[in-house]
Amino acid sequence: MNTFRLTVWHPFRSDRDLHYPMTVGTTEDPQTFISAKLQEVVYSWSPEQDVLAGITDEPLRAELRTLLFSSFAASLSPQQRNFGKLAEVIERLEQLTNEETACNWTDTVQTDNFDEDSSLRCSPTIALYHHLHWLLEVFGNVPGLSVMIR
Amino acid sequence: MAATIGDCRTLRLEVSEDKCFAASPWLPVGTIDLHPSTIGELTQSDPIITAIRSGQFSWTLPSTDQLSSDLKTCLYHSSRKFTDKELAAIGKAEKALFEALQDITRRLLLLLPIFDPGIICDMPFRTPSTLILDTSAVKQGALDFACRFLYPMARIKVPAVVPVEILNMADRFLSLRRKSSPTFQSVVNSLSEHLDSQGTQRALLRLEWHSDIEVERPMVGPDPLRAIFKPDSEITETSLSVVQRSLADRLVFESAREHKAQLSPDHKVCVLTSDQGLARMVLAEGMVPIYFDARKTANPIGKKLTGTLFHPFTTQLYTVSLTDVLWELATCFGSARLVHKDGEFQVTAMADDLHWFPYQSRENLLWCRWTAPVVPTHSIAEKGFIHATAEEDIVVETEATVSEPSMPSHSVLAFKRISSLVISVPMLLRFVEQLSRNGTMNIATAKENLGITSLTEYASFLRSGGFLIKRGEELVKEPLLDDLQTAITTLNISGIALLLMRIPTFIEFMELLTRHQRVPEWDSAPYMRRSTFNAYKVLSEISILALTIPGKGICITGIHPTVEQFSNEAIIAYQTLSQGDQWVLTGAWLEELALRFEYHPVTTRHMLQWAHESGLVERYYEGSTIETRFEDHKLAVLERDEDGSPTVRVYRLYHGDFLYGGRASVRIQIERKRQ
Repeated sequence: MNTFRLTVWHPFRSDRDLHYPMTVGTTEDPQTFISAKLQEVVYSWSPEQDVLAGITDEPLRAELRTLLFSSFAASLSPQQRNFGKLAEVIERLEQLTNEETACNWTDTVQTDNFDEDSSLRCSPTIALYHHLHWLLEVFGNVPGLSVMIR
Repeated sequence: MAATIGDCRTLRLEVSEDKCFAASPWLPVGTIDLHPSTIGELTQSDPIITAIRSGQFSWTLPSTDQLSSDLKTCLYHSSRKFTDKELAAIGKAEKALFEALQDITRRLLLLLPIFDPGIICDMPFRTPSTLILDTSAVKQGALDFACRFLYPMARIKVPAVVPVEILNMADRFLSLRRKSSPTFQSVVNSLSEHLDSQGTQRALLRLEWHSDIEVERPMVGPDPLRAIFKPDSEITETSLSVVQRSLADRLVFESAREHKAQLSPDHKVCVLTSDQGLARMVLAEGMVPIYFDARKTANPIGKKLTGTLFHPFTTQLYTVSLTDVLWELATCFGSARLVHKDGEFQVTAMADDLHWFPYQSRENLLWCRWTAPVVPTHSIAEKGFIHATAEEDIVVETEATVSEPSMPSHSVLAFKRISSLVISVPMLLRFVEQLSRNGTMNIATAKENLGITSLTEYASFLRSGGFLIKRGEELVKEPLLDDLQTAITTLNISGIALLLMRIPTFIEFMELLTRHQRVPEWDSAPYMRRSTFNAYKVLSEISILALTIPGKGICITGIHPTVEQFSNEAIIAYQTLSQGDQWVLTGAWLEELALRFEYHPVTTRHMLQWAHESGLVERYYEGSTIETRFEDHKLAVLERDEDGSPTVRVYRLYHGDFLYGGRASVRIQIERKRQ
């Protein structure tokens, strides 16, 4: 089961007016819909592997869970979930890649291609650091982008 | 390699350039920490081997300052005084080293190229697109990215000017290396040429010989290329040539435009480059570049890299083997080694006393030398090279200075000649049918009747299995021959297989497959002549005991699963190939099942129908366009012809006419049926 889903969002631009149908007889105010607020997904990533599986220290897990999930929650505005904030997470992860207890190697849910009796092993912390760093390098300088993690 | 590593978990990684590193031969480029499974005893394979193959390692690179200081220690003795030009050459070598480490890690996909964000949104491609490469894409890892994450939806096209540029780079390097009276400056300059040329050349070779990628090469006449070189203004002493950049860029773009003109307007054609000038030109001409940066962004130096990483577009992980890292470093620098307290494993791609032949590149062979603490039953010589492949599954002994008893048993796969008979299987069937009907056969008459000049070879083959005896000039059938004819007539495949297994050379051929799971095709290993190999290959295929997959070898396929087991594994094989695209090539799926689960395509055809009828899987076929890219992927099947007589029919697995008779099935989609 996927427990981690990261999406990168961009303000949606359309040459046409957009609206959704209002329910007849309700008190919904047509003015509350602002099409300029619409966002579209430009990148989506949802690994099968638990990205925090390499961290056995519970307080550290909790800290990273907050950093990842609470800081990029869907309830926050796109401005609050920007790439600057992701850079802070990446900085913290980089520190952890040098701490042995934070980047344990664990069996994954994926089968090893060379040995079907075994699971593929990885260090999720190092792999996550590199993936997020790559995303930061790709999208970090594009204005208006935001990140959502669930 | 696993034997030399023994119990060590932390290893030093070092590289050497035999001409440039005159003061100190080995430059440290980091440490490797292996992380094998600790429950290896529960599985059949050695956890160290699995860790090496499956990327269970981390590679910590030294800091910029450390690398810079170590490089200087390798290049010269500290007491030396330098001219301005020599200092400039040292600075250039330093920059070349940093850039080479970036390129190496990107070509290995330990780090990914930083693409234009506008293009990442469209990845992975949902419609077929063509990528036209320039040299920077090959050198800086974008080609490897495209092959691993974007193929097959992205087709790869290499314009002629790219190999020309790479060849010129190699030529510049070799000119400097072979200079009769080298100066300090020219020696140091040759480091950057070595790092640039050899790794880039290997990237193209890897694409051609060690991947399933099909490369398209546009036709280009000689005229545009004639004016592409100009004398080098930087290294004037050797009269070297460099490529006119703008002309080379224009030729890359012209390739893209020419290709676009041949395709439908909605087929995307993009130039893959990290060259800003080329990217701007492409934009100005109204086409889309796929631009990436591999210099100013993520740098591996001082970082900890890992061999198991998240796939950028799917839910899966991908791996980079430790041997790939070692092979890439050895190619770029000349030599690379893993060192630990008790020994070392060294890989060398280039040295004055080592030769090169094309088969080495074809088989991904480099020269290896090692010392190890303990190797059971065999001692390992401290000196002497043998060839080893990066995959480590096939190692061919060459003129090694290591004698047979001193070779580690796990690393040598020596093929002896199994048979030299030349027979044709359709002719063999006719011969069996006639002899079974007549009981006896005069050799001279049979030669005439059957039109077989080498009848004795057919007779020898069958006689070795007890199917006939020879009395003077007469061949007389034994009861087994009638059994064989009955099995052929009734298409009793398992009966044919059992009877063929009475022939000693066929047993030996099958034992070779069973022992090694997969063996190279005839042209890669001298265990048979080609003409002999064809017969054994066809016999093993019609008896559904093996399947030959071009580029991968012959694999055994004797497994007959239960319908439930097949359903699960058919879906696993489909999911492995689908990678986000719901349609997968039927040929690729059949081969995946053969390679991974040992199911012969004939077994798969039967089991798929059964699984469908049992309500376990749903399959859909798509067959609008015949796949002609894999014409050499053939399968021989014993069937009845229009007259009802048994005949050997050859299918092209990717044509889509094998799996579902009467309907084209070039691509397939499989899903588990909801109960």
